Amino acid sequence: MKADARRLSVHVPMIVLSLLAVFPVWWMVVTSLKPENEIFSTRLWPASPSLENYAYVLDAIPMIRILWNTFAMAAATATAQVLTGLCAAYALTRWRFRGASVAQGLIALSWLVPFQLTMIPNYVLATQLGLLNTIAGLVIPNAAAAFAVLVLTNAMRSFPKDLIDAARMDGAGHFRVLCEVVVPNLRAPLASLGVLVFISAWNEYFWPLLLTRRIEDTVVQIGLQMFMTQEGNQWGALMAAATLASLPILLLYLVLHRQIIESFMRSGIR
Amino acid sequence: MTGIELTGIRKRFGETEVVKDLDLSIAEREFLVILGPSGCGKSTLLRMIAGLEDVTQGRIAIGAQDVTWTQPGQRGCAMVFQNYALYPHMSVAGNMAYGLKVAGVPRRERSERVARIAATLELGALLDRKPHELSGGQRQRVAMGRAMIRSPRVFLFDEPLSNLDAKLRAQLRLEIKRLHRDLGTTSIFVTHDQLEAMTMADRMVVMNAGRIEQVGTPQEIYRQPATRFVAGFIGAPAINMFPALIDEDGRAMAPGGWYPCPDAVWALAPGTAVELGVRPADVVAAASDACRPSFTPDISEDVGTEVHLHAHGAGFDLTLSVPAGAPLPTRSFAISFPSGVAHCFLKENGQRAALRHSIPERTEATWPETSLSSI
Repeated sequence: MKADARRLSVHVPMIVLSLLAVFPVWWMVVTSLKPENEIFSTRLWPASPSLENYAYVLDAIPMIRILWNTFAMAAATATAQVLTGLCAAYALTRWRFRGASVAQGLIALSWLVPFQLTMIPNYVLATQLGLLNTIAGLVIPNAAAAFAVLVLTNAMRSFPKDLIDAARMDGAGHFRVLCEVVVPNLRAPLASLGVLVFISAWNEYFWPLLLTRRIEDTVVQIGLQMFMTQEGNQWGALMAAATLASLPILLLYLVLHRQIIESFMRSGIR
Repeated sequence: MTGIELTGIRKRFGETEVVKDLDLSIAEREFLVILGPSGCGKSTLLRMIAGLEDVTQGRIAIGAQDVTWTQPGQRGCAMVFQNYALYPHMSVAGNMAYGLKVAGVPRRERSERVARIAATLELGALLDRKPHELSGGQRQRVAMGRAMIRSPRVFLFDEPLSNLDAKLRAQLRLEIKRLHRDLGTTSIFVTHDQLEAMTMADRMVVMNAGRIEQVGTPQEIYRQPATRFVAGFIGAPAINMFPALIDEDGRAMAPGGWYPCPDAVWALAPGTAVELGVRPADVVAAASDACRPSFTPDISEDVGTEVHLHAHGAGFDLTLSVPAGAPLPTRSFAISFPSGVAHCFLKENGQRAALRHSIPERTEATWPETSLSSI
């Protein structure tokens, strides 16, 4: 009895919180399926569901192209941040050099610098380098991030030093040690960091807004904005586009949810 | 010629000097054991020989070739680590062959060499297993196989047996000695276990606080310890130390006017403070008398082959190693030992003091056969 009561006291709040978290997503999907005349009804399921909003979205903006742009940008950003983070973490933890702790402190400090402070110089530089309206322009300023360096530095600190020493005794150079010994044994933190950076890049809004002018070169978060006009918001289309934008992330999570949760737990990222 | 020459080696981590101006020659085919307490710099020294740690000052030569700044993989050394350091994502065969893969040895030759070494170490049935599927002893054997496969010029062992249970440790100790006998590769073995050091070494180096205290054969180090530290570090139970002062004749006088070894005359100035060291096995119990301090039995530990008897005296404690089955004293007793077994160390710097004239190392002094309760 006592155990049941305790279980209930834990589960009821968790169920309520889950419903609170799921409801907006549910409402987004339901609204996207509502025809124009039903859009403001409070029914939990449309009387006559239709895909007309999706058809409209695909017709109004190059949604597939935009999704591809976003995927390419997010994947490239995640890969770049993981790679730069890995190299920096290896150097910071494995090499003894003058100023190592200062370098690490500066990297940590750079995490506190707001984007608004660097956006103008970044924008000017990107313009001069001809990176306007390009995926490279979206990726390069975010190719190295303090968060990635700090997460991987922590992971590298707890990596067995003897393993690296053994590989060096076997004749492997630093790059080989990193690729053949460190990376295969650091998959959990690398995967969780990769997923986190991918999701964060997927949701990126401000930098693409600055850098992309043409709708076919932009990313999905900017695409959504097309349905918010001065004449009013096209809620059905907006929700359909938002649903399409969420699908890849949802799919990623559905396929990898066990690994993602496991790697988050193991690497200590919450 | 694959001897090793260390000249003027120093290692500093920031302000802390962990290895202090160390010179050492290791002969070809020699099995040298470096022994010392935790933090004495022995592992750092081994890592400097391996190339895993840069020297702050000094020169390291292996086989007459200066390798002070050579990369670890190019020194011709192979190392066996305390925690095995096997690559968790590779199979046993992969672990053993990794060094050859890095060296660009073709796959077929790698497989042949792995099979050959695996047969030597009885690892043939385990080649496809991952390290986490192996026992501690098997892992250490794989680590040795990985070291052997590259036919190195020098084997470096960094406390490789300390994570194993006593039985396995004894077994692997023999295996390592046998391998050394068969391969004849110059080997350096770092340990803090004196039994390992005494049983395995051709020659031993005892280190303390970054310095070499003594280099010699295990017998030399046990029988002629060069410093008080060596005398105290080697031998279980630990050597007994009695404080004493040198008198006008050069004899050592313990507190209370007791002359523990009246026949020994040391080449020291009168009034020099010394410590006399006597191994527990060399001390025998005797009947109490007025000229000698008496001791009270405290705890006895029966280790099977002998009994260690701990006793309290006025100003100093004592341990005796009593033959198994011999009667133990039950009340106050005095002690005696032949003068020749005592080691004299200067209180000032712990250095061994020389005798002014030699005396026989042993005279008659055996454990009393009568029941010691009547002493």
